[in-house]
Amino acid sequence: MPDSPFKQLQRTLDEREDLFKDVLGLPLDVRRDLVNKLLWSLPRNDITKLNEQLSGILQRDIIGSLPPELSILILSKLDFEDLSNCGSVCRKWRCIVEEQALWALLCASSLPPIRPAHPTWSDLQTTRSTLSQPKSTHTSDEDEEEEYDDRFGYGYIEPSNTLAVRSDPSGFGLGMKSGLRRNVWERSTGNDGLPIFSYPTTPPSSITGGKDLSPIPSHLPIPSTKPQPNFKHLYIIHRIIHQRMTTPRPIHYNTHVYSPGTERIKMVPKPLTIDMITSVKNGGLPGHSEAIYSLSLINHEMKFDINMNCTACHHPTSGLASHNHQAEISPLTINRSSGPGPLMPGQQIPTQTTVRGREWLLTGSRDRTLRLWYLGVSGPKVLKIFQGGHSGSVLTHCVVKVKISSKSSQHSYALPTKSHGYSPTKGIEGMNLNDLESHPKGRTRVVAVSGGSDGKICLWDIEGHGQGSTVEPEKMIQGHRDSVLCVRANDKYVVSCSKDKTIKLFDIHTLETKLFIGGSAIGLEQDDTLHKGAVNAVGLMEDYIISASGDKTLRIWSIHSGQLLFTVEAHSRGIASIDFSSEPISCEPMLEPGERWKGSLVTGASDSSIKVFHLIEREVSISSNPDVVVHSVEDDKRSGDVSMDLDPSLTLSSTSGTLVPPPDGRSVYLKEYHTMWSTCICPPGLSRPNDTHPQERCRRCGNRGHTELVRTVNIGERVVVSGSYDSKVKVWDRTTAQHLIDLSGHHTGRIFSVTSDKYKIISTGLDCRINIWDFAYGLDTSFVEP
Amino acid sequence: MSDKKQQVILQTSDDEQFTVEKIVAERSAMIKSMMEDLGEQEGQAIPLPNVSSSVLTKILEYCDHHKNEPLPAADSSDADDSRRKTSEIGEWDARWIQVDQEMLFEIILAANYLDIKPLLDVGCKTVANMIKGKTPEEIRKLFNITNDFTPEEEEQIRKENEWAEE
Repeated sequence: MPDSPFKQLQRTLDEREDLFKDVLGLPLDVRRDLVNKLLWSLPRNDITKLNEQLSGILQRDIIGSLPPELSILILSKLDFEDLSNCGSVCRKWRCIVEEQALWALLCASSLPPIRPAHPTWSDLQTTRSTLSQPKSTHTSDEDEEEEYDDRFGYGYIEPSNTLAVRSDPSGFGLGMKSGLRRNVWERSTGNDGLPIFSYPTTPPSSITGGKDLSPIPSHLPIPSTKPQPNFKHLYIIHRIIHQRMTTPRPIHYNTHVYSPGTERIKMVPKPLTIDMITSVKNGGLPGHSEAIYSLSLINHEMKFDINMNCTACHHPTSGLASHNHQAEISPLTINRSSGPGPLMPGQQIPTQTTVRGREWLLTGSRDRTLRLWYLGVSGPKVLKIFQGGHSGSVLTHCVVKVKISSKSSQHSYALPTKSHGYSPTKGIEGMNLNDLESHPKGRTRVVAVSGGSDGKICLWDIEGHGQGSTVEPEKMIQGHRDSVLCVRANDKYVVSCSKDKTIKLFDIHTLETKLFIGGSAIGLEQDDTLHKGAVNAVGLMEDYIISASGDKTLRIWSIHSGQLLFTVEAHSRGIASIDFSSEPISCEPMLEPGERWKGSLVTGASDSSIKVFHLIEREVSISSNPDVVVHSVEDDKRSGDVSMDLDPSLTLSSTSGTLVPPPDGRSVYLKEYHTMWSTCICPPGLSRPNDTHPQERCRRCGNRGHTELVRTVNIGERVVVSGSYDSKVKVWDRTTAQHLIDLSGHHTGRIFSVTSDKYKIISTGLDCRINIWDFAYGLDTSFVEP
Repeated sequence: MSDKKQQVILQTSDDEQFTVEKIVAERSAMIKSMMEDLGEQEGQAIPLPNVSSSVLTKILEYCDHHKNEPLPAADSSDADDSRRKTSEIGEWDARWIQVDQEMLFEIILAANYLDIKPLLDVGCKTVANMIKGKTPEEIRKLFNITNDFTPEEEEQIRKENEWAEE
């Protein structure tokens, strides 16, 4: 009767098979119930095991299994810290994180977008070799010693004046002992006997001390005519520079005492200080010997064939040599120094040299000249002197790229005459790349516009391949009756403002007057729309002119009609400086419908405060439909039908400004964003905390950061830089208004001008020195667009 | 009759047929252009050989919920947009996408294949949010990955990260 064990097993298996078949045939909800019941009938251990198995099945390496383009899409939504974590997960992930496409996407989608520069292989080579010089850290240590050793030798020089140099043929010490800056030094408001040290020309790299170069190369190992950027490197470099610039540093109380030990930890780079001596030491023309009033950076690829022989007088005027320490002095040089300035001992017998670079600095000074500084690897030096225009101090200037117009073509030596037409025999094959490149349509040139205390406005051709090292103005006009205090330009217009309370708008090519604000009102002093004090600063936009005056007001004018559109009393005392930027920032203000953010404006005032405003454009029309709102800027003319009624609610709530009804359906106003306060700047123990308003921490110093008039402000990509009569340069966060860095102790007099780009901050002032803080020290910035 | 016209038949990889409203199916730019190219062919199923029925069921749920929203512009460069609004997922979407990793993986693949941009975006953001703020070890645990780096490689990576962080 009993079956064989095998048969029994077989039957059981068959029954099981049938049972499973039946069960699997059941509807879903029944199966679900059944599984549940079965699950709970199992021993606890089994459930745990099942759970492990299940979770393994349900897990999936999503990043590793998706096609790379989708993984990149996912990773591009992460920030840098998360990405480096992803890169350390496993090899597969590492490969994806290393993908160029990912980093290119990250660069393109960062705000503002990061675009690579286009260096040549030789640029790359130069940058590398400068960076990898093993002595760089070593040198800077030496420099430091030198600085202390030479402190007295540099600073405490027997009084003499600039002219002494010419009669100082014994100056083998590269002019150091001739007391060049003494006359300036005496004028400076420096309150202590701080000696002027000249930092030698090696860029400060002490912080990188001993650190290896980046483990990531800045270019891809692809053989091509131009090096291809490594977007990962580029992205990280931007990140590092950004962090260096925006990490808040404590304010040093005893800023005059340079303390090597402590400051290094804070990672504030030491500035590179340059002056006329530095330039000569590096083989250039002398720098300014009197106060420098204005600065501007020119980040533009330029090349100069410096022909050492001045065409006018056929004798050497400058020396630019690679071996600048061969103090071989030509007797000719000393005897005949009728050139642009005194010739310095140590200058070379001139040779033909080509200097090319991407970074240049233009400075304007009380000595009535502008000078073009080459900021390249071989050390900063003056290559050109722009003179013969102003009969007074150069108080202000700006640099702008303009399209080469037919009117100005006679001044642009590079313009090919071919553009007048190809010879009929020349077919399409005759149009080579050069022809296309040099076609005037796409060509731009770099010009500078300067304004002086003589009321003159000069236009200079910066790139002009004129021979010799001195340049005369291309155009010159008597712009104002009194000192021109500020000029700004774009590719169409120049705007200038003056101590005579007027503002003028000129054509950039011809310097023809387009608008004269305040000119017609001579004798009509009661005209409320005009500035009642000297106009200290102007800003230029596509549609508007912004002006800031000693009468405490900011005004916005229409560039088309000269009509006043908006006024606000922005500070408790006169406004000394403004800077305007329409570059987007990461946190734009909350806007109401119909409003558009046009840019941010920073003001520096004689009440030593700094304020940030948003310039907001808004539709005035109530009946306007969304279409009009969107298009009206592009389409000025069609807005004639837009209602001109001013909504009473439009009379501003946020500021006490006055809104003037605009002629074209739009209005602009300035919305106060924040004031840049610093934490207390009082020495320890002297601060007086404000108990009623804890956010304003000190009543003694007013928390203003600066203690005197803020003479100059500059908006950078992420930061605002300010320079004040208190001889301090300060860096503020553009979006949070936080005080970031105090760059004091490097100027001895009033600061007249500051400027900045992605990784540099440059300041200058009464002491004739130019300080360059390079936040990209130790980094390969070949592909970073400044 | 007109009702019928608004229906589309979709056939999945496992040969299941789904009859859906045209407006729902058109969420997929791929299906939309396919219909435009082939013209209206009554009763003809559109084959989706890369999508399984379980995933399609899920995705149709999404499409149905969003069917009345305007379609995104065909060539909108959404790089900036998606970057700026990173990690922002709508409430309904967030609940809808609470699925296991395998399903999430399938959804992303299918969203890419079917060319449903907002869905792809939701999927990517979900994965990104899963990774955010986690250490490499936590990420490995999350996705069941084994660390296959040699100590030298780890050292190399550490050095690189150190440089980037200064």
